[in-house]
Amino acid sequence: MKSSTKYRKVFGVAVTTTAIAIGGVVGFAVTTANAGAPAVQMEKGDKVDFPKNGRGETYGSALEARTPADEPDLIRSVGDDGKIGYLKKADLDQGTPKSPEEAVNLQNSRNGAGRVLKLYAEDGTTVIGQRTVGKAAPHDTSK
Amino acid sequence: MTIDSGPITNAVREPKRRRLRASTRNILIAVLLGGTLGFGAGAAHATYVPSQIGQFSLYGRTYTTQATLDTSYNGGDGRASSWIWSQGGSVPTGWMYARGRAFIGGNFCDEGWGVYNDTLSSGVDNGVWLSCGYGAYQSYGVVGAWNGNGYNYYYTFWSPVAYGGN
Repeated sequence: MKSSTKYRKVFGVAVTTTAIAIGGVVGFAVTTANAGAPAVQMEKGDKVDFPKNGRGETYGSALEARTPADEPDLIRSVGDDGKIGYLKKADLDQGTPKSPEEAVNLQNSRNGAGRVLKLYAEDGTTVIGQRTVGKAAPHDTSK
Repeated sequence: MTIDSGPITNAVREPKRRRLRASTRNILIAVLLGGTLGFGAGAAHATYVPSQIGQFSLYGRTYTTQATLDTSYNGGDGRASSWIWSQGGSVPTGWMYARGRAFIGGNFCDEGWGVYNDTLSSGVDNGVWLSCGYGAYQSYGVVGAWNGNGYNYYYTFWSPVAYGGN
């Protein structure tokens, strides 16, 4: 009887350990995996209805937007001091050229320096800080 | 002599059923625990995490795109990049566009000045530093291409989350 109980305990520990290991391996693999076949980028779910502030401006995370055109008016961001606030989509706008020639000219006219943008509260008017954007990292040569 | 075996059999089976239910529950809990640990370990361990590859066709060309996140780049400064390639080889100057973006904890952190291919080429990329302190980053950029009459812009897919940054 004692032997049977001992056997059950050992078996239980073994099964539990195996289950944790399987779960761990699957979890790790899912987290670090590179997905395989290309997917069409238009199909990224439904358009998100972002909440609006008192001025009728939408606000939220750009991660939730379906396309760049669907981004909220106020994009939730981290300020230079770590404070959470919002950047105006209009301030982030880098212009839309009308031709490939204009695109390259626009690109060549930039000096590559970062931009300091105002960080707003949810109301879209109260400035609570700033965010420096556009300090480009060098080209990746790994591909 | 008649033996009424019914109640005796049920009395024996009931504890077995309870043990079986308890075992099943414990195994499920163990798998969930393992999965949680695995996800956490994966996010903490990963240094180079690419997104799913995206694809779109425009003006007779098919493009593939991807966002990448490299938390060990430049001694741990880390970089979020976005890429676009033309599947059919080189395209004329100014046809492709990429703007890398970094997010931390779901919040916008930084983006690069978007770049167009300034020579005949088959791909272009743009990257930014992970400059919002240490945290859970994702790379998620904007890519675009010439449609013959203007530009269409799309998102890359999100990269998985990885911890890093300065």
